[in-house]
Amino acid sequence: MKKMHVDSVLKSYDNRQILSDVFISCEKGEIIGLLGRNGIGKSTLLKIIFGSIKADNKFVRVDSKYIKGIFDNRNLIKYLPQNNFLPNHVKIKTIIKLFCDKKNTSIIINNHLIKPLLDKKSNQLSGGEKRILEIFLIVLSNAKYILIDEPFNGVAPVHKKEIKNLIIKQSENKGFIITDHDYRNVLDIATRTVIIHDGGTKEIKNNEELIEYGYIRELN
Amino acid sequence: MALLSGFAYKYVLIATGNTDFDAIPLFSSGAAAGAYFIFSLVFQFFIYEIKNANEYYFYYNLGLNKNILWISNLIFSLMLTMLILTL
Repeated sequence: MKKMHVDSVLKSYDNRQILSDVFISCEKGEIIGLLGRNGIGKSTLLKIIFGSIKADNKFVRVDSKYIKGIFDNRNLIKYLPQNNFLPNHVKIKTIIKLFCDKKNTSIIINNHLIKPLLDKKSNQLSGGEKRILEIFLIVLSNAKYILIDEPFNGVAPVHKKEIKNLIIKQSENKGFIITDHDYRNVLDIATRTVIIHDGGTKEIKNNEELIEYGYIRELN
Repeated sequence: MALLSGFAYKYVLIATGNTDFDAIPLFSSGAAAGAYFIFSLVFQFFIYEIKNANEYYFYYNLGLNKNILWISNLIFSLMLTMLILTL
């Protein structure tokens, strides 16, 4: 079965149950928009799927492989965290070669946003430049499934459209789970939308349900 | 660091009552090796666990988990420690 399947996720912090009834699946070609209010567990869920934090219980399977931790998900799952993660003293072109194959390396280094940054180091870039670079690295990496946490945070509006187009184009060969508080950008590109409510995931069939679940007050 | 550790070693010996100053070498490869080993682990702890904790995601995305990184640092530090001891 060619898909990423996640269920039975249990996670609690300080005796408070954060996640308890999670079911989420993602196939190649899908962009799952993951929404939810602050502190509801969106980032925690993505980190649990990726394997960077431990859950009280979880079941994650990619295709037919059971994923227990980070070592198992090489070339299967990549994760873009909320905060910048690139090492400070490595040249950008070296980092690109570590993450991408030859074809995608060529796409990145010829991109007009990335080209001027190639000979710089990460600590010489602005927060927005780092974010754009990180999005390109993760989206164009060789993984089958990509988890993206707040990609539009700190990115200029003029570049958001380019990032959305990149994700849509790459979704032909990959599955994406994306979360961002700028929910309109998520809804623009999502093929399915899931909301985390009361520790569980609920699939959203229409935007009015976002009001019912208390995520927004009115539709704009 | 090796020279500093030699000084430290000398003053520790003096502080513990060894008054034969000339018999105590300024540079000791044993002390330097020990200092290198401890400092390499302490530096990794402060740099990666405290200062740049988010940088771990760079390595996670390359398939390296925290245990692998700590074990590889430990092995590398031990190898260099052994090398310093042979000086």
